[in-house]
Amino acid sequence: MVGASQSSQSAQRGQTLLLDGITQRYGNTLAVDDVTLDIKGGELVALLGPSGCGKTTLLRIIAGFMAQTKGHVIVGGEAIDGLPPNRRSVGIVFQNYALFPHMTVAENVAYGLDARGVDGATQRSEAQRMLDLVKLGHLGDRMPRQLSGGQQQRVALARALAVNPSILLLDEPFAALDKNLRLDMQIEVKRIQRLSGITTILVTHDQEEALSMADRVAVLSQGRLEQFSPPTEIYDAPDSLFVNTFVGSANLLGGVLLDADRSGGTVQLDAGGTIETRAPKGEVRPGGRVTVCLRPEHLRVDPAADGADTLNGVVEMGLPLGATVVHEVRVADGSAVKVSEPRIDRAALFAPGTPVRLAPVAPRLASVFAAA
Amino acid sequence: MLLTRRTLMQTALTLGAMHAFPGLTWAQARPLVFATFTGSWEEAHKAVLVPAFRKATGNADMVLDPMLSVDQIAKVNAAKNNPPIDVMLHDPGPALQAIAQDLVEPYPVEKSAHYKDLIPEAQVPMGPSPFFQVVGITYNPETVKTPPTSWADLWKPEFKGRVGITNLNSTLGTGFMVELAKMHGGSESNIDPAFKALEALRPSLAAVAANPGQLATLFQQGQIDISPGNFNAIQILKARGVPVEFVIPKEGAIAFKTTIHIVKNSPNKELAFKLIEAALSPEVQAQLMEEPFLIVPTNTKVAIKGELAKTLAKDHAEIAKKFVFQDWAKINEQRSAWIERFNREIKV
Amino acid sequence: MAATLRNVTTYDLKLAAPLAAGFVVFFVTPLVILLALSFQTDPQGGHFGLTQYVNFLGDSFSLGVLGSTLWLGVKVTALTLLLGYPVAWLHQRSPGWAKGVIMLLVLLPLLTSVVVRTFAWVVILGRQGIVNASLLGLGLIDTPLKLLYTEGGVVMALAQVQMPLMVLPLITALSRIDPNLADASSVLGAGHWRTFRKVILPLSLPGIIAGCLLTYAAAITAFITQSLIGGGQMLFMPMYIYQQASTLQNWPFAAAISVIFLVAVLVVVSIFNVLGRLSRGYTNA
Repeated sequence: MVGASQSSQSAQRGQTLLLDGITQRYGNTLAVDDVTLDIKGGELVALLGPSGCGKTTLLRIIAGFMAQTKGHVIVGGEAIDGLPPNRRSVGIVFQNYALFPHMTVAENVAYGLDARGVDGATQRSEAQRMLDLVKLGHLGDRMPRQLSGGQQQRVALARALAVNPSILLLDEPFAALDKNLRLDMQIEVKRIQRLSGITTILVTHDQEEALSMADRVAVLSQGRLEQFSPPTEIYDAPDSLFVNTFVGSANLLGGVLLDADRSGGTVQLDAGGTIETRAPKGEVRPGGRVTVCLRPEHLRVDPAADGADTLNGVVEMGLPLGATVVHEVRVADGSAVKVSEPRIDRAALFAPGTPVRLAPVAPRLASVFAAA
Repeated sequence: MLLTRRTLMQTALTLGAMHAFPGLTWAQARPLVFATFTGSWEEAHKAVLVPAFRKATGNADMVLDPMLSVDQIAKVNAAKNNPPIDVMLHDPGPALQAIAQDLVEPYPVEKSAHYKDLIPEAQVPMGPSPFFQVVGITYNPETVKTPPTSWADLWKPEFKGRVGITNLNSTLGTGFMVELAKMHGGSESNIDPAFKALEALRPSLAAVAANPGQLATLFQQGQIDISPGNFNAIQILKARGVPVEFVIPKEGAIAFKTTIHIVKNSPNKELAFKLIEAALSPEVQAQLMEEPFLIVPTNTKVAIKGELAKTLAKDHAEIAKKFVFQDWAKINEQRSAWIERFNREIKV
Repeated sequence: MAATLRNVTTYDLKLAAPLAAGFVVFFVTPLVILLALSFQTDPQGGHFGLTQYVNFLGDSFSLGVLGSTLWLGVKVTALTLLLGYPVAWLHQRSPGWAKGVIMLLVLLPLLTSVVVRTFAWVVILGRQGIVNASLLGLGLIDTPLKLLYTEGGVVMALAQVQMPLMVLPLITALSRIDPNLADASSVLGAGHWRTFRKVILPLSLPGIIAGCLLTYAAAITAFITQSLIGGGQMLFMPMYIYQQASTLQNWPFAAAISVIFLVAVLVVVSIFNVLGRLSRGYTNA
């Protein structure tokens, strides 16, 4: 019943998930503040943010572990707010996997089917099919404690998918894995998600994980949704200073907006020089104070630079990072600026104390936000 | 921890040798040890008997070591040659056991100044009796308006479900059974009538207490209204404001001799004798007769006064008339059989 | 390096010597004496044999006392488990401050003596006690119920008196269960009852077994509570032993009863232990 036919149905089309104005209040604090996310069927969305940003609360609200103060959770066009967790058709993989330690791997995977009253034979064959999917078909008789962390996670994934849920929730699933295994598992999970076509929410505080795995990333800060966009857009065109600094690294430079239109702006930097930027975000008018965000790879050290956008500074430190080299440069207004460049031709590092000139690698890369 | 194997071995050997040849242990000079009973007995003896003893002996050292009769016997039995106790105090049952097990010395009657003044029942050569315990009927005057006058009153229909007794583990319970037997034509050697009478009492029984102390609790909780009871125990309850009264039934009060004994092989025989003499003396007994102790004197030189005269007996002549002493030698012969029978037959 | 290690080990063993000596002197020796005593054929000593054991095991009354004592333990343990599990569960699910309050309430009885706790039950169960007074006041009964000196009363009082012994291991066991497991179970489609039956209950089994073991052992040997609440006519093994040893001075028989009781309890305890080992086998993740 629950077998191949249903999962092949969902293989191409997962359920849509709409979080409609979700607010969660604990006493006087807003854990989640009016968050709306419209997630397409089969999409993998990452909820990204530092701890305490509300991403876990959102996950628990979707799963039904807690009732939101306001707003609706709508799956496939139907509100599921009134349903308890066991009737929501949601699968979840916990950070610590939460496998039932007193059951075998196969029993773990079959647990949800058993709860749904599926007969024993089907339970066994379906559990076997799910274990094969996560490449653990030979370990069904083991106890969870006999498996490695990566294997346990595959079991948790198989267990969550076995009941053919509408939505799959992944709660920091890779946090407990060591770095090498983590990448393998990320690829594996993405493969399985593509294969099953299930709408998936990935909760993480790891920006690389979010950017590499997700179709779209929702960045949360202090309960508010900062930006909900594809990963490249999050990185290249952040909507807020928070997103710009939380995702990737950024040099923050103070300045005054000289001029701006839809396509870009010009900022007079406190450190000297005038820089062409992307269109400013937020309430800011020419003449107003702004913060300019320049990613380290947007700058280069150029002894020959002499344009209006040239910054003069002194090298504080040079770090060779294999493929790239990073210099920290003290500029005129006293701020430290990081510059990351490809390390071409085994170029030597600049010694501390060397005066250098910095220039943007291209115009209109920097983001501009109203000064905080 | 510098215990070497050698020192351990030496210690073990020494202990073993001491056990194998008890004569090896040398008698130590130690204070006189008097094993009294716990509770009100200990208090009374501390307040009256010990000071009298100190005065009589020029402040000789002594220790009160209160414990049950059974424990006294066990302790002395365990070290017969060098007993840790010099003077024992016993109810009639255990007293006979101690004598049978050869744990006590005969009392040096010819040396005693007070022995001849004791009432005849208290003159026991193996250990005289300085005090009596008296068992009569205890009742709650708030619920029992007409004071009972006879043991037979316990069977009255109005006390259905209100009567308390104790099982035969206690001297009180056993004594009561013997009294029942006697009322119905039995005796110390024929207990059958008592069990029949108890069978008839069953509908009236509210509780069979495990010990006399529990009877006090049962009165306090209103669980029972009437029961056989120990005069001294009732005085303590009364003093605490529990509504209880004590009355001697017309059949007479059941009296137990509490006897005091010099332990065989005691290293302090002379002091032990002096302590017992003090306990038999009219001065100590007169003092113990007063509030709050109210202990019945056995020395005929003590004039009975106060609460005792009011509730129990005016003088020793009346004591002789009103108190019923039982034959505990005969009782002991069959007591275990009775207890077993009680275990099996009396289910409330 | 190796030398240092060896020194450390021997030092540790020496530290245990006083304990071992104390164990031998205060536990093993009396037990051996007890055993020796139980083979005496009469209180005066002299002859040795199995008379006392034959007397006990051949007597339906004595066997009845043993049976009713073991059965009393079963009833008390069952009631304690039934009442204690929800308390432990509540403790597990409560916020921090409430946890403290529940823990205090659970531990409070341990801070008073058994005698005091038992006397409280005398007051509660008596004719004029709280239970009867409330029932009379509510007009549910006309005459006070007999609660004191009944087996039901003994079971109830013992269950309360031994409650901490059940609740504490349960709290420990429940607190060791990952709360995510219950969540995982519910998203997989299990209702509360299935989650409890399939996940929480099996995983708390070590605590249940430890609690039952402690409660059972404490309940059947609770001389004070058994005699204060049960009274003088309800005979359980501890009172039976006391009666034979203390009142009747029949030490050989008392010793034999004690040995039989000890063996019976050991059998029950080993059954619990086997169960415990089985349950620990799969719950230690």
